[in-house]
Amino acid sequence: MPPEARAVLSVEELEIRYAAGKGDVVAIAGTSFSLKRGECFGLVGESGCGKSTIAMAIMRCLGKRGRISGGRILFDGQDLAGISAQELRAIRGRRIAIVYQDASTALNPTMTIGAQMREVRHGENGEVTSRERAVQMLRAVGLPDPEGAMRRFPHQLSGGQQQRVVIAMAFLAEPDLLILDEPTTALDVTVEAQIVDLLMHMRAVRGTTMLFISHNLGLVRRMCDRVGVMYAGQIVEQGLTEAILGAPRHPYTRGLLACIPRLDRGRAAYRLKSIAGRVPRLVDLPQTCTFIDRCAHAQASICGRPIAVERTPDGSDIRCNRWPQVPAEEAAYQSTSGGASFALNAPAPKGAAVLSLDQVSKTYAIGRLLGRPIASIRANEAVSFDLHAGETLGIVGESGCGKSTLARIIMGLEVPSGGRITLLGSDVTGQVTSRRTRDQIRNVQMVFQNPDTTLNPSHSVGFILDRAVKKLGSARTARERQAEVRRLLDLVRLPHDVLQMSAARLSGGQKQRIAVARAFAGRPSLVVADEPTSALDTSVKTAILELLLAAQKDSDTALIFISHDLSVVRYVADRVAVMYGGRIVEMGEAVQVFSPPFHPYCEALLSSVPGLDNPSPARPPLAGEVGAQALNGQGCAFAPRCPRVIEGHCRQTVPPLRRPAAGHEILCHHSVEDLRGGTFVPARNAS
Amino acid sequence: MSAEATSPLVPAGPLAAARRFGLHRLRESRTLCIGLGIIVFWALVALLAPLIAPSDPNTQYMSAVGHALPSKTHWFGADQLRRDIFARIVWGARPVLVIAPLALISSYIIGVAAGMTAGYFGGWVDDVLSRAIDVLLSFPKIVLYVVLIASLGPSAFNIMLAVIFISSPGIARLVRGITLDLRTRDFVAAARTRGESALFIMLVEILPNARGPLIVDFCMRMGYTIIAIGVLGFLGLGLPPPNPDWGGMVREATPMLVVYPHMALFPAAAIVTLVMGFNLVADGLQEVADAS
Amino acid sequence: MIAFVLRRLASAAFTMLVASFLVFVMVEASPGNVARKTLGQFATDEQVQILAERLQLSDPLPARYGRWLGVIMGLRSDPLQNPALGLNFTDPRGDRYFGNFGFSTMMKTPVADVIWTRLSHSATLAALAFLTFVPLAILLGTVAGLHAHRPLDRGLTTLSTVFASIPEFASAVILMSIFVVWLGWLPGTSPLQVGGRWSIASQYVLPVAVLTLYVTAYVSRFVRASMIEVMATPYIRTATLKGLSRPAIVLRHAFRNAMLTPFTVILLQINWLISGVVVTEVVFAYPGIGRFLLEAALFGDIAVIEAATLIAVFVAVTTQLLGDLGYMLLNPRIRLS
Repeated sequence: MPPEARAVLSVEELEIRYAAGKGDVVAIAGTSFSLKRGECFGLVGESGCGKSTIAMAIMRCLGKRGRISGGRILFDGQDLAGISAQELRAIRGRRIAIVYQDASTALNPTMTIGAQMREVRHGENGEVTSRERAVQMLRAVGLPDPEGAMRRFPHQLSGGQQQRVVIAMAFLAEPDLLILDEPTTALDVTVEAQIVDLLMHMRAVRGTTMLFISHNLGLVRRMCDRVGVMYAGQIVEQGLTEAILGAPRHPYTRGLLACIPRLDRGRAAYRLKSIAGRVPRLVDLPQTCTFIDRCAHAQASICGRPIAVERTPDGSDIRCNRWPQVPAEEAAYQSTSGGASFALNAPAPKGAAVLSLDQVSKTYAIGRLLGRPIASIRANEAVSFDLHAGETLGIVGESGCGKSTLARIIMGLEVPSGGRITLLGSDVTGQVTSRRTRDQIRNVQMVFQNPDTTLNPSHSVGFILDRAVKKLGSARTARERQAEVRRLLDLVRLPHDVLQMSAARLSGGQKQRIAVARAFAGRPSLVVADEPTSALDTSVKTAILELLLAAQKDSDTALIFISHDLSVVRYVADRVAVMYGGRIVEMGEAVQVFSPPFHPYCEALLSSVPGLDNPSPARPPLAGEVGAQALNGQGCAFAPRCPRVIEGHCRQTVPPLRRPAAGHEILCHHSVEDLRGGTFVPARNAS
Repeated sequence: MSAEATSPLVPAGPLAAARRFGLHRLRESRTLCIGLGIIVFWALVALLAPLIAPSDPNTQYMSAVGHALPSKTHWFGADQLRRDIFARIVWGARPVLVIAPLALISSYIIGVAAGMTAGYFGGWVDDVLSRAIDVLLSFPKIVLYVVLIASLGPSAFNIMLAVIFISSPGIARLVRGITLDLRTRDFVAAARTRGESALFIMLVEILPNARGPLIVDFCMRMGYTIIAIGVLGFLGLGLPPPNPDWGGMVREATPMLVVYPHMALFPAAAIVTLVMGFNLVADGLQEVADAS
Repeated sequence: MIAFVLRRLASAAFTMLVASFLVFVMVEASPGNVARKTLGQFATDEQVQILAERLQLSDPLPARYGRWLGVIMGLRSDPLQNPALGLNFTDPRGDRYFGNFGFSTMMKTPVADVIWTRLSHSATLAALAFLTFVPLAILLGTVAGLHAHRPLDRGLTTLSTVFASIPEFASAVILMSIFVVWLGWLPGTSPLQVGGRWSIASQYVLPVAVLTLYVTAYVSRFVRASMIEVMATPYIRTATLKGLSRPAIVLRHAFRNAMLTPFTVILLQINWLISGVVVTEVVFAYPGIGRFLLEAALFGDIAVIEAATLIAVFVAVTTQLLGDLGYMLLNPRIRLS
């Protein structure tokens, strides 16, 4: 067999178990796939389905509890499960390299980048990396000042730069196989785009074989030739990326795809569907379809027995006994259940504003010397908008853009440094929550990002909801409060028996449901949701979104929905504000913001998002990262990264507010006509 | 949708309370069991002292002349004043097991109050409290004990005062650290946006989540406090004689060590086992916490 | 970085100042007490009254503290040396010099005459203990940490729990029973006198051993915990998956990071050692500052109590400062920020 045709990696009926208490837990339950030389294979799935376990099994790094209990992992024809420690060391790092999710913890904090790079051995005899070679590689991954970087410590680099170092370290060995385990998940969208660009470039230049692990279907579509969809320790469907993501057959793949919001249209045009239930925990090899409990197409007689892998006409492998019937059945459901659910929220009647922000700004002092700040950071600058009952305002931006600070200011957790905040007609500027009236407190509530800290783990669900009803609701007697708590549970569709449960024992999705219920306890006029779904799995995310919107409709609440995820904002928001460097750089109706004319930042963001409907970027990714640099307040905050920056102008003067249409505002020096170009136009010397 | 809610329910009532404090995990850690066993043993000894050693621990047995070594009548022998060592050790468990927990609980009340106030409010309140804590912690502990007891005079009450004065700052620093961490949690922000008072947030939202590290710390501090009380007795600054006091017994027996080592070894062993009981419980609780 | 050093220096100075006030308050809060203790128990009430008046002991506490501090710093002359008082306190150094701790009523000499020799004895003892326990604790902790949850680790951990439960006076009694009474290998007291049956070196063995046992047990637990934590970090996994050998991983990657937390703990042990030194010196009749402090406390020698306590706090604060600066140098995250 010629070496080119032989698989670099071939996983055959792999089975992995973890020792857990008395028995075992099956993490991987019979999985096969292979990678040809130069290929990029994607493994996708939600958390806990076994993607990373496979990566760690290939590296033979399963920890004390894990073991390969069946099957083979053939690397270049050699079974990795049976090799000696010495052979293993020769393969690790030299022939198989790995890039991790979180570069900031993957690098040793007390060793210089140079020292860590030079530990990598390469070639047949395992030569030590020379200084020149290390510098060369750092240059190849686009790290600014590679010579200087060799002497720096990891904490002196930004998150994106750290990930570049890890990638450089992986490529130094010129590995036969590169495993990428969620390499961009911890990064911002624009930096993610840079890293993806880098990986694709390196692959094109070096022809490296890659195993790409991700939960992000859009990224997988952008990067991979073939893809395997994992569910409960098995690959349920694998084949060419176009076939799997373009015309999926397995109900789980179809379900996942139906959970992903689109960039090109809003909620008026379609509805997302969540997958009920959760991934089962396997204590033994499954004797039925693992998806049976969550599948709408399941038939006990057919799906309740062992499932064999079958080949579909387009060459994919599928693990479903009913795959030929699935697409047709789904089409049938849709035609019967359409219509009513597609009704739009009625356009909000423009009465008095629930909330109105006027030139709100917030500055933080960094360090103090003799009580005076040494420097300051502007978290928010001149933020203004009105919000009406029943309306949803989406706020998007990358980390550090000031969106969370804005939420905290509105909630009264922080006091603004300037501007005016009017809540339900009364001025609450400078009033922290404890200074607000009971009615004002009742009317503004918040849903937080992290499900693990949003509920007090020492309290029971019953106590949490009862306390919210007591402080925020109108119920007086214990009986009334009890009824109200039950109403809230129904609102978020949880069974009443969760009341006795400790909050610590709920799943992430359940916690977020309780958080929504708690926020709506007093039928508030305004709810601020700060990244309420970003820590959740795809299939759970959708359910929470729908719940939030239903609760909002129920109380005619105004909603501020903060997210870094453009497509989610596109789905939920009536109006959208895009923030950068503490300012709103573009704001308008969702349709207006998501179509030209764009603010240059907004345009860059949109092309960075690896959406399913946005497989290849129109233009090169945005350079640089949002730094913690103190903004001087003059000039446009985006100017240092802007591809259309007008030198000698943008950095010096505050950009004017352009109004391309009623309700649509863009903060930019370029004229509306310039911005309308849609695609990249070279900068002109505009006045 | 409801399929998400299939995890087992936590039983309500006292069983749930026991569960919360990890008591149902007793079986998981042998260390914890042994430690608790030792503490319960000494607690019973102190409680049942009149039954175990019915005679007055200060009785001088003339019959014990020349019979200082352990014998059938005096299990642990007699001391230099011909008093029964067994009885003195049994009765000596009482002052330690009263002073140490009482003083430490008082220290915890002060330390938790100061630490939570500093950690939760921050700003100048924190500055002042943290400075005070730093100063108090900069003293070597035994030096501070010696100076305090030397100026206050040795008595059970003064020893308690000294323990409170010397233990509270360390507790306050620990609690402050935990509070600083917990107050950034979203559930605290949620409580604030709900209009809860600072007191409610500190006591109901923050404190219950600090219980794990605090219980472990309490056990370790119990061990240390028992050592400190023993050291004071040993240095001659403990309970005034003739009260049976383990540290004092070791002190009195040290000059006789060459002839009758048992006079010092028995009370020393009493202190060591009691301290070990608390240290084992601390270890065991930590083990259980790490495992879950 | 310079700002950090300056800030730490300022805060150490402030701590020292407040601590000295606390010492003054604890010892001299009641004015009658001071005069009584200076004159001894045989003085009449009248004499006590007169001395209290002459020393202006009824002045408010802060004023008296100011004068007291002035004398120690060598800015004011010691009022007790005033011949008009008739106390016969004379100091060959004069009545105004830096480090003037006054007169020891117990030793009938200026404190400065006796305290520094005592301090040097204690420093030797503490230094020997420090040099013994640091390598021992690091070695035992590292070994236990690398074999976490295996029999070797379980054995070491159990042993450290046992030793961390034995107070110094108890371990002294136990060790003496074995090595002095039973085996007769070592002396039971360490008065540092030459010419007897026991050499000076042999006199140090038991005191150092007593000081080392508890601290080694205590510190090795921190080293163990830190080692376990570091070995579970992603960057150790990176090193493993780079194909490095286990010794290379432990020595190059794990060790330095694992020493960061114990480093501060080790420096804090100086504070603990000072406490332990008091007890150990009393047990072995060792002529150090700790035993001196206890004798003064039992005698009511105000000047010595104050001097010994101030010196102890000074040593503690200084090592704390050195610890912080050392930590800064060890940790590039702080050094280069």
